Amino acid sequence: MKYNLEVNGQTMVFKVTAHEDHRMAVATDDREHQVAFHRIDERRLALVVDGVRVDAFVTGQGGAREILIDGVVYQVCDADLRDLAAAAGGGGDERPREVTPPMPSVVVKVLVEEGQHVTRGDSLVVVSAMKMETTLTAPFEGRIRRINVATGDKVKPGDILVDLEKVPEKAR
Amino acid sequence: MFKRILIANRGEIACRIMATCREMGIETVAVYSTVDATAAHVLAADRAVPLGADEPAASYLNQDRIMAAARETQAEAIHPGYGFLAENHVFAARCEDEDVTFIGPPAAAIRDLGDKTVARQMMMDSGVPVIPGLQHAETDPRKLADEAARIGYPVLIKAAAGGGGKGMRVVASAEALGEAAEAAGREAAAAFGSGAIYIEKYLARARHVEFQIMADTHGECIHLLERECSIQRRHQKIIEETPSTALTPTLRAEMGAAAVRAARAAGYVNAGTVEFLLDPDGRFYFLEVNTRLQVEHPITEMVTGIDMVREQIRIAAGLPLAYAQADIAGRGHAIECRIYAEDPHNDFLPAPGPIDYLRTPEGPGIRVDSGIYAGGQVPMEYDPILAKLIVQAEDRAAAIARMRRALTAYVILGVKTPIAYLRDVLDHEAFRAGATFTDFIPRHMAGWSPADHAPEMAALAYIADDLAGGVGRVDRQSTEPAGGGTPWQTLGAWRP
Repeated sequence: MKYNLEVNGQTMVFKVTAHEDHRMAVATDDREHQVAFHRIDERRLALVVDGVRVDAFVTGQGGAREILIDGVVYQVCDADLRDLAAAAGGGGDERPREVTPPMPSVVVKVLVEEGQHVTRGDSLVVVSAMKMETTLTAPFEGRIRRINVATGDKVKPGDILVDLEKVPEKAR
Repeated sequence: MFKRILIANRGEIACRIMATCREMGIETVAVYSTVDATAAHVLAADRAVPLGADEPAASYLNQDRIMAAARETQAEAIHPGYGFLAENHVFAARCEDEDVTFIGPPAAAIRDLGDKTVARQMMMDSGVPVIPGLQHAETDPRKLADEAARIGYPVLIKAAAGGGGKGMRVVASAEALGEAAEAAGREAAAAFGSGAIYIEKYLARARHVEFQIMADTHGECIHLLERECSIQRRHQKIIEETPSTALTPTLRAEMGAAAVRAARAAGYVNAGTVEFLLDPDGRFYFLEVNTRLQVEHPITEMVTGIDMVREQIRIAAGLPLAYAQADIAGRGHAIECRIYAEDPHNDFLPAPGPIDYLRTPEGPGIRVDSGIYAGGQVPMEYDPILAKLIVQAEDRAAAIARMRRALTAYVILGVKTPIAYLRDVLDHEAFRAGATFTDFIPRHMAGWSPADHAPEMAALAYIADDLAGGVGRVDRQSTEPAGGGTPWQTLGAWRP
């Protein structure tokens, strides 16, 4: 079994041979690790890697997980699964072009109106979480097509607070 | 003694207050907002009364509802914790009027000390040193220059009407004063509609050192030693310790006496904190008085062995202080780390959400004041503090080692925390050397990123998680190109 994993953006290739009794051999380019592993609970794995005990805590699902070891969080992404998903059209090229909050928050103020023209960097919506306010700005120049929220609404990352449409370039 | 106390707060501090109440045989009443119906402080209480909607104005700041809850449950006293109504003199006065004991200082003391100019004048009158500088706004450049020469450079120009750094200028020498004063005046005028400025001595490398005071209704007032809280990010304390590495026994006695004088001058009763700035030459200056229980009170409890909430309740009940100044001695060294729901990889933005998993450090000399549990939610409406990790050991080096161990063993999944960041602060040679000044974080931790020296280990853990049948496991076989079948079916739970 082959794994192409990206850890904090760095790609690594592993050849895995699973054995009985919760053991596996994992080969990298330059060496082979002998690993024993036991699931302690839903999130916690107890590993012995080449004789060294390591505790790892896992969150996230599928091909993108966060692994916490020794107090430090690693983002681990399965490159094969991501490529498959991208090929299926399920993901890939989504740039942060939308007006969405960076954290779960409450809308404090909407600073624009529908139909208004804004330039890149203009303040659009102020959200607040845990006593800290953040101003969301226009990611590009355009026209406010629709405002999807009102003051007091609870919003989360991924919610599109304002639909911004690019103004078509005028023929010169 | 009171039979029942209402705690007008939430989170870790409400839980901590309830713990002492329970030990004293006092019943506890929790109040809560809609989102907090199953919050840790509600689960910890004997009784619970809903206040209203989530926003603080409708719930934890809603004085009408809180007073009604106290009447309804026949609570004889209210403990405000910190934040929310703790330093609201109107609320304290209302408690007095409605015959409910406010566990804190008299309303008049809260009001006077809350006004920075009144407090500053009060301290000067009672011989407590304040930061040297003008007492009033000044526009005459000659008078500004005279004052700057008197207090010595560098000086700080501040807008009289100001705040938020607008109109603020640090001036290193007399030559630069005129121009800086003009520019600051212009900036202040543009920002506040008033160009009035004043100057005070600029303390470039200062420490934040505060003294815990405790006063009863019988005229006794003592201090419970100092806490150093110089490690701050965005003016928010993140690591506190006691004793301070900067105090000699003589300086400690001097500052402690000044703190007691400050408390007496204000007619203070109950627990309070007198904050000072301490310069590298050992000169200290009054900053402000916090008229409440501090977030960082546990480190004082750890070294003195005194339960401060118990003392607060006893004082509020009219009992005399259980300790004299001579009884107060610090034992060993204590450190506190504040565990916030915030993302150290994303400019420390607040990170509310569910607590998926929680593993709390344990062992000798470790205390966790927590307001969360596994399966609970951290709402977005309130302060991001999740818990406080406190350790005590025989000396500072041992306390740092203990805190390091405790931080590493602390696992909170579901929300982001700065645990790795805090550990790196503790590991910094400047921290180890006790060179803790209020500019520590910008000076030493700018551009921080975690020491991720075990990426291969993380990858092995990922693979083990698959093989050990984890919740997020994906059947790898079906994604092998040669395996045929329909790999897409296995990707249902996965999002890019």
